[in-house]
Amino acid sequence: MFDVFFSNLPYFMKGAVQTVWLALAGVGFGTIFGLIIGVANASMGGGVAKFINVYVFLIRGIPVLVWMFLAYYMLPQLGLIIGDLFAVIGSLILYTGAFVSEIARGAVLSVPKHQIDSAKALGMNKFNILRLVIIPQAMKMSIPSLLNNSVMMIKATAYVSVVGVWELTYAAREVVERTLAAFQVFFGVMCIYFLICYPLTIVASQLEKRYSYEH
Amino acid sequence: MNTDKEVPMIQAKEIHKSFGDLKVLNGISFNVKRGEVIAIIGPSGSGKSTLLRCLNFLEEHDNGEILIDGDPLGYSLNENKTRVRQSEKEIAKLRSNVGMVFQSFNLFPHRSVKDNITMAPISVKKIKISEANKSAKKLLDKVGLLDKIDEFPSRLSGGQQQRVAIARALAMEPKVMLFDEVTSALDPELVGEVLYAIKQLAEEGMTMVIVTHEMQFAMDVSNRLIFMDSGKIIEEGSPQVLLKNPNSKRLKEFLHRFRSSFA
Repeated sequence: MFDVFFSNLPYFMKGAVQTVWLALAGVGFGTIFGLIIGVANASMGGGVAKFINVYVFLIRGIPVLVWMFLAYYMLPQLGLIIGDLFAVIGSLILYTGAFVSEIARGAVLSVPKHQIDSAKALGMNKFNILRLVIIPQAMKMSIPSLLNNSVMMIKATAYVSVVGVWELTYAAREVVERTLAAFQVFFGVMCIYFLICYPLTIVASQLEKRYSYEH
Repeated sequence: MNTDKEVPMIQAKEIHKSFGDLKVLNGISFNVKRGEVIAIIGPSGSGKSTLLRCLNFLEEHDNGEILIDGDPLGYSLNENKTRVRQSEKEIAKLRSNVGMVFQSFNLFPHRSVKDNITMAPISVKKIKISEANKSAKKLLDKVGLLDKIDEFPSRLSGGQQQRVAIARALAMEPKVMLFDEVTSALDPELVGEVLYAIKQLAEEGMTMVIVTHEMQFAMDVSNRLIFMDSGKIIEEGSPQVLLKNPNSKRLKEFLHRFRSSFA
């Protein structure tokens, strides 16, 4: 029944590798970027926070696909030739960063004030309070949301096919156009996406255990 | 560090503090000598805890001056006698001279008892890990919790957590210890162990300011009692005299209400 899918499996696996690569670059760097600006937003305030808020509202209020189109069509017109792959990866990084920054900001702000008071009373400076008290506690709270966001953004890598960047969904469409076996191809591709996303939940539960403590 | 034995360990001069329109501290002035133990009593909302928090600059006073061992904390006066806020680095350094223990313990839940005690000495005072561990063991032994060194705070009773909090504050070798209603959140049967630890410190000559509702304890442990109401010091003096023969009508009322609630 799945003969078309299995006969094209090596091709799909190549597409899956490209999807994982896009996810690692876009979602991975986007998460790191978002964590940094989210913590900065919560702990620095002033002009930095305002600037980050504008960035978050701007990015979050527009679909990632539109950002990809903008990056793909607009940047070359502005004389910035970065290639379609980097345009979509850039969009993924900025989009993931905006969402992750809000997760990080929320987690940092949810660390009880008395924790910060007691660290201050011990003579700890802002950096040490952030490093030793706030971030470890915020980390625990943010893991489920970060996992959720990562899975969503990994799936959003499928959008890049719309602007002509080749990856798993693009490969699937090519095979369907050639064979018309839409059901078995997309069913198989669905399983591959699941296999890409599922290990993340295992990593997240390990991280939750690593950062677990009772209040 | 000030070596002049005559310089009071704490000098609070005309401290004013408001939260919006609410005036919480209304010109508080008092000194604490080296080795002296001061207990502050007063009704809820009288400004006791705010005063204590001002003494290590967890709350910024609007006016007045606080000196710890002769050094201004939070604000210094420049040549023109204008207040200048100290840098965060300076404030953090000066704060490490003032240990504080809170009502709700405030231990770091993600770190073990040992880490709770060694975290600040290692990160602030740059003490070697091995030395910090040795000192943590000594302090835990002192508060009777050496066997809990590797536990997490959530596995300890309230009284045990509060004793760890005392050990954690002592690990910074502060010149002064501030206690903010440290037994208020404890079950009655756990109060004794915390008060015993504080008494021990008093006997060792630690300078302390204690905000408490434990009148008997205040009488036993303190050299001087301060009664506060509406952001002002209403009366101060020897605890034996003050609690038995209060001068002010307000303290009489307070003590009467307090005693009748336990009758």
